[in-house]
Amino acid sequence: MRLFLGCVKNEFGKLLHKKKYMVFLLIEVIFCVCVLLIQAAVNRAMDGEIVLQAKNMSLGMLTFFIQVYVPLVLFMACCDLFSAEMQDNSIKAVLMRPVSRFKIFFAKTLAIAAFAVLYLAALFLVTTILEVASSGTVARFWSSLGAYLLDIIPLLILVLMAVLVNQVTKSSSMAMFLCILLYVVLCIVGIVIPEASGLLFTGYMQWHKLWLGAILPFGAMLAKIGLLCGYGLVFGGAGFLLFDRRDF
Amino acid sequence: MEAVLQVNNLTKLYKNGRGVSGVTFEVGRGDVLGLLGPNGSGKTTTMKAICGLCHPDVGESVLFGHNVFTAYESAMGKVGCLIEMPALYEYMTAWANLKQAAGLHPDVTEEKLQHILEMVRLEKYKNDRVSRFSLGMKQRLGLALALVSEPALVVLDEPANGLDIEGMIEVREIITRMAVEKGTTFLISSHLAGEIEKTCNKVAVIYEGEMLSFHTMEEALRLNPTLEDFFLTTVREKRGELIL
Repeated sequence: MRLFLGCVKNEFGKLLHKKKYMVFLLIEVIFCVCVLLIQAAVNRAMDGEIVLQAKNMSLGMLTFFIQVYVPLVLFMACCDLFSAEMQDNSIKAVLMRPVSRFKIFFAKTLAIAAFAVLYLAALFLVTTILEVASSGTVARFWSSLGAYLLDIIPLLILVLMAVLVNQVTKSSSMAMFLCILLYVVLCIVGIVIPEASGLLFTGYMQWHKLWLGAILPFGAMLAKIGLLCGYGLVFGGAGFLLFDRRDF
Repeated sequence: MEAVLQVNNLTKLYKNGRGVSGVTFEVGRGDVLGLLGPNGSGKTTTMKAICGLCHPDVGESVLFGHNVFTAYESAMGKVGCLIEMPALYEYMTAWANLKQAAGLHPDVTEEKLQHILEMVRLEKYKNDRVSRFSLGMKQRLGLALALVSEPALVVLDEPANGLDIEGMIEVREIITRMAVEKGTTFLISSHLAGEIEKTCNKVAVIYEGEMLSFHTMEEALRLNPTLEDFFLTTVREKRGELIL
């Protein structure tokens, strides 16, 4: 276990060493501030007075970030820790240590998932601070926090999908392209064929809406949880199998 | 003799027909074995299969009594490797690279890392990014990474790659000192017979994917003035050429 945790720490550290992820985090913060300022400008144009309104900003921002921004950052992190390392051979640095491939594979996956949590945590923090700064209170704090926590689950499945895609090719740019393409196609299929959206994990990216909105019967929720777990097992299993069989 | 490494009938053939076939040998504690062969003869493939980086078609590699393909962590626990180009994170500093490696060996202290950096003469550059390093400096850092865990077996693929004359001598001294003082076993591959002759006490000739001979250095030099001559004799015998 100690080796596994050491490995997760190492992989997380590698992502932190890349400045681009800090830049993306900064962009996330700046974007939230800009949205608030644009809202104020619109209010001024309509009512003639400047009012900073950040009511329900946490949930509003979550919808955009969980669907578009965070997945893109995750795809990039997956490519950096898998295909880019295979491409430049630096993956051997960890493969030649006394750590099994099983641990390496899931340590990398967990580090990427932890990175997703970091991005969501930063978003929650910033939007909450903006809400407090603009209105003095935080409306629906606990339900917002719950929404953020619930949305981590579909992100984990997305990470496993991206990791699987990264086992197919050694080229990081190709892996990035395939991840985006697959994600877009799955999203579009969910929109064009509504009957299929319930079967695709991308239809649950805003997982919190199922729990915090109109609550479905327990049996239906259980089925959806089972569906996501199934996707996770298939992506994780297939990804590990390909990683384990690979010659470096 | 305590066997540190046993390689039994190791066979790995790639789709293009190259690779290694039926490689068998054994190395004991404190031995410095040189794998001598031309480019593309299968030295690196043998080393990769020994360390579990690639899966052999047939055969096994047993390190410290553990099969590397069934008990990877136990087998690799006391092994340090430098195979092909050094595996480095170029966006990190030399120190950060060492810290990454040390993170997977809990008993490695910062003092130990500092000592290793001094040993490979990189202490002045420890806070420099690896992307700014020359080939020789990268090779030195690769060697340092292989030695981080105080391994009992060190696998070095072409360790003299990119090193200047002083660097080559220093690496040779490090190997000899560790083998004599600590009983560290070394498996070194090279296409330079002179380098193997000066560093190793055992030599195995690999040619076109086959291990042609396995001798102590004394045996190899008994009838040949240099290791280069021994290599040529062995290869010509294999080809069935007339030896005068």
